[in-house]
Amino acid sequence: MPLLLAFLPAQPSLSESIAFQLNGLIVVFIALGSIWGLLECMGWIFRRAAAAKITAAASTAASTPVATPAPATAEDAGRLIAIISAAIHVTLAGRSHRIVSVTHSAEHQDWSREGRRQIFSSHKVR
Amino acid sequence: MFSGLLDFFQTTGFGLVTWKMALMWAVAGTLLWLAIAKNFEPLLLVPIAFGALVANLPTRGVFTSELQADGTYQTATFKIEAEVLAHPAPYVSPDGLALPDPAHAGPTPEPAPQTTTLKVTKVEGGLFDFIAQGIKLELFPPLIFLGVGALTDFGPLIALPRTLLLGAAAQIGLFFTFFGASLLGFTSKQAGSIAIIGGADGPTAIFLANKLAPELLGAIAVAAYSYMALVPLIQPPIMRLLTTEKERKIRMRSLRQVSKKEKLIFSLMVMTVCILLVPDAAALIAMLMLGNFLRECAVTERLVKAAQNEIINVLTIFLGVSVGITMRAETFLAAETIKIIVLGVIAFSVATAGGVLVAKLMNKLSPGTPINPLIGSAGVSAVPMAARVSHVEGQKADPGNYLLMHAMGPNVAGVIGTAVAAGYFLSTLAN
Repeated sequence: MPLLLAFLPAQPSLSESIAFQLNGLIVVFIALGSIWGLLECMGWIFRRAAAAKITAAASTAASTPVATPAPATAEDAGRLIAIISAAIHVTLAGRSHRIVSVTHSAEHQDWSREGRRQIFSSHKVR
Repeated sequence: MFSGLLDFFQTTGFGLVTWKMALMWAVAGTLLWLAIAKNFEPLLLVPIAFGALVANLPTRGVFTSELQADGTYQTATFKIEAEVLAHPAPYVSPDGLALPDPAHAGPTPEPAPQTTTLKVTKVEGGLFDFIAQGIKLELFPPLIFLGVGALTDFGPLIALPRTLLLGAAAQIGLFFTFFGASLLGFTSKQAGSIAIIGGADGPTAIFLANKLAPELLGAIAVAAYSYMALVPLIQPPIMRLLTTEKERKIRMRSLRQVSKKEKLIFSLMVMTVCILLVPDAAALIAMLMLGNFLRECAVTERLVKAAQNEIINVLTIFLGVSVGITMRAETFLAAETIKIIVLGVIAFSVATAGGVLVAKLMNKLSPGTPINPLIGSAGVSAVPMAARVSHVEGQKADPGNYLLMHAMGPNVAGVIGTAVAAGYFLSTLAN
């Protein structure tokens, strides 16, 4: 039986059955593989367009004079830590705790991560 | 007085109860317990179990079941009585002349197909003889796919398209099970219908089984939905067995934002590619992508809400009960059902392993952008349960690792992959 002509009888032989399965897997991989290829092309085009837009916006911003922000002082950092400590105290509602460190997040994904955590915790998972 | 009571008793159903029926009550009770007490796919198992209970009670006016020559029962048939209004008559010209002499009539025209006009006078059938036509005529599964499409966000898949391969890899289980079913003596059509259980996609399993092996529809639907519910129990041991602690801790890069335009193009593109490749899957794929297009275009809010809620909910009730109705003791209590249950769990397990192993292979081929192999198991459809299982297993290894959105990519790819595989089975086995 030709590999790509898999019209199977009711009771196939071993070789017919194996050829049929291989054909099926090839069809599935061709379908999803071609969608993958098309999506990569589409993603490349859209990413390029987005990058061009950002570059244009950045060059516009660079040509516009803006006021220089005042440098952060030690007093500002102290206030920030006080605010974070107060928020933690209120959230933990009197439970015993000790703040060991307050650091910047390296990945800048905290809000999206918190969103995912909330979505996930809203569903029951066995 | 007593004779009147005895006469009434003879009209009741008590005398028609058999031990097989009683056994099916226990099966229906178990399914109800799993759905209600254990919360295993209750939206489908409750209607299925209820339908199974009704099918195994001596009902009247609910559905009809006829014994076929091959020993199987055919359910959901209704009878139509009609009277013939007109017979096809020979042509007579308006002035009453006879037909022209064939010798002078030129070439003989093709005989027209004979039709008869009927006037329907009576339609007999029970409630579910009519409702179950939604399965027989292949209406419910594609319409449920409309709702599934309206509920699905393909963004994670578009952002990380190589996870499509994981959705394809999970179909290995499906073809492996086809082989196993053939070895156990099932015909090709039956083997294809059983194998699709590994795709963990209930509507697709029903769609295919109804076309290829309607006699196994009840057992296949129950196995498919039961195993979908048991994903959190079946998958984790296989995932842990095939991955190292280090692999389970792999953190993946955050997914990029996908624009509305990309999502719209995606819907049209997937539909076109899949239908061109496997036209037999057109009904499923087209409705899935129609639902998704309605969702993403953002101008058909009312239609999306209907597809996400009313349409899918109503159809789920009818689909579930119609499937349950097919679970008559005479057909369900058979050795084939046990075989299907065993083959179903094999299909699921191999599909899970296939996804995980191909994810590991992808890491070997592309070490610069590693994929956590745990998301490979989400390639079996079971949306979104399989993705949640990947996430939970990832968090067991590293509580700060959030794999949920990454796992949704192969999860929805699995839906497309299973529909394509079903189309392949249909195009090669249906005739």
